[in-house]
Amino acid sequence: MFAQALAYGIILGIFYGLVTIGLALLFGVMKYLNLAHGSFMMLGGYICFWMFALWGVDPMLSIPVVMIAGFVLGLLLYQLLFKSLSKVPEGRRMNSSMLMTFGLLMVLDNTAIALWHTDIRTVNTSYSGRMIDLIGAKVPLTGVMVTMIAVLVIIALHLFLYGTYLGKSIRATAQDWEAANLVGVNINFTYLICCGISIALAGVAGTGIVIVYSLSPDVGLRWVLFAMVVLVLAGMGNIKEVFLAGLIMGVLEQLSAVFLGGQFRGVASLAIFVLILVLRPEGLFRR
Amino acid sequence: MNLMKRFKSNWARGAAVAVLLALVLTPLVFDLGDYILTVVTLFLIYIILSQSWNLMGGYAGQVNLGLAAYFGVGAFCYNLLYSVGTPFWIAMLLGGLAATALSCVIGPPTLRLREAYFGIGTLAVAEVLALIMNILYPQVRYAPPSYWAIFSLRKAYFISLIATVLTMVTAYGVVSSRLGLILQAIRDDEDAANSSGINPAKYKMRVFFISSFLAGIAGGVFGFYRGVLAPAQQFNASWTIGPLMAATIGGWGTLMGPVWGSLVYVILQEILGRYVREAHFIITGIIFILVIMFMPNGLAQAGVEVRRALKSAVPRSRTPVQGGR
Repeated sequence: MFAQALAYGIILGIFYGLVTIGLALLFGVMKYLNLAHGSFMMLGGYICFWMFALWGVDPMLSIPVVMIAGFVLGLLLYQLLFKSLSKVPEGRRMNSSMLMTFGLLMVLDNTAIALWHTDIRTVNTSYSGRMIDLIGAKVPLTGVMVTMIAVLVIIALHLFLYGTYLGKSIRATAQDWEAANLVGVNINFTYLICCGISIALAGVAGTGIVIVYSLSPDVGLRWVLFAMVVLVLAGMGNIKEVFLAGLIMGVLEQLSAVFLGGQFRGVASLAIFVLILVLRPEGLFRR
Repeated sequence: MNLMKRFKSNWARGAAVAVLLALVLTPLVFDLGDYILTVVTLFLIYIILSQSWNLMGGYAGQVNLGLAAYFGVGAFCYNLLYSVGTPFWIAMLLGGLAATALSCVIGPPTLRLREAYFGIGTLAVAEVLALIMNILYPQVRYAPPSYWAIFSLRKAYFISLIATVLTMVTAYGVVSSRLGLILQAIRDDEDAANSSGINPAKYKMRVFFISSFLAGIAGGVFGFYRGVLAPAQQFNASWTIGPLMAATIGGWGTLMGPVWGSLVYVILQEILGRYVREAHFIITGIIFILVIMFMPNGLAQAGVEVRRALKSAVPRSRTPVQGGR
């Protein structure tokens, strides 16, 4: 039972990490808070779902398509909405972007409801129900596959941020955008790319969710909230910390589901959240 | 009395009295029909909610994304108490107090957070409360038969009118007092306020009490007006988004902003709901984004600018051009 919960918790934790990293990229680098991140994730999941339902494309193969679609959506998001905020001070930027994406969340979620109704969707491939044995725990094959993809994506992102010139300029912008601007980094372009990558990551997470869990137009807000709890837990650190925080969160949630009953797992997350706020508020503000 | 003395502008006082008289007399004299009364009642409830949000977000700069929680607690408490036989107005007051009690629990940890973090914190609290309510009370709660004996739309209208007037008076009292000034100082620069001897936490907590009490009252009024409640519904994020949008459209940090904003918002909802049905949330969302992008100070600011433009336009046309060609 314990090992089982642990295994499921790790899978859930990887998902949290994946969703949160997209969010953290926008938040850390640009100081933009994207409440619609979960809605973009939901859109990515729907793209995967429809590609499977209409043309029978294997969900693993649709991931690159979803990533490209997410990247383009991210570019649009920046050009249409976020660009107007790129010149305002950071505090106001955070608030305005939060409100703006609150509206965007409403637009995206209700568009999804209008187009695809509120039915709960999952992708049922030939290997969906298959379980594999991992040291005493039975784990769904899809979960393992998505976990591996998530890890690959994270490694790729890490290599991009620490190995390329563009990645370096993203990190520089995160530290001090004015100084980065002075030494010749094109801030607008950096922000644009960042936004694209962030939404592409949301798309990957959405694909994973439609494969392993289930999807409906209103899942976005809940996932983005959990992602924010993870972000608070990580204290806006680097990728590794966010990922670790996601794992802790996922495992804790699954264990609490075992001990308290599945319905109350959300409540347990809140308790964690409030505890962190009370005990370690500096986790929030640490850079 | 002191309050009225400070109500300096004669024009504003006259207008307020005239509107109030019209609001009281019109439903008494004319039979407005159910539809108009329903819409106007909803409009009044929106004023309470968006004013409650405005005190917190507009004046004190604390963007509360969990307003629905206080509204929901108010509505739920009202419903529980009323169904065991408490008179409705006591149930409403207790609903407001219950919301205040909630803010006592939520306030201290979340108010330590700054800017967007406070928004995240309050949103998380509201969402989890919605989650819990969904688990505990999935069914619709019907009002007892005694409710239908005393209910009439006109009554609901007058109750919400009284609550709205009290809300506006409270808001006016807060804004024109020392508390209002302190809140604005905190909004403009928390560190500066802190270093000039103000304890921001204390005053933020105070305005949080007032704001959540008003939201709780709005919940009670809504509970009376609806009669039938699905408890989890009132905790839905749309009860945060609506008042937030109304306050934003009207203009943050202005006394009348929430009123104009609610007017625009409710009319917009009615028109869109009638003609485009499900898509109306999409269109309101787009309008909200556009308002934040292009009119961040709302209708109130737009009004000020129009007035300024008119004022500067008139003398310019009269005075002769200096230093002729």
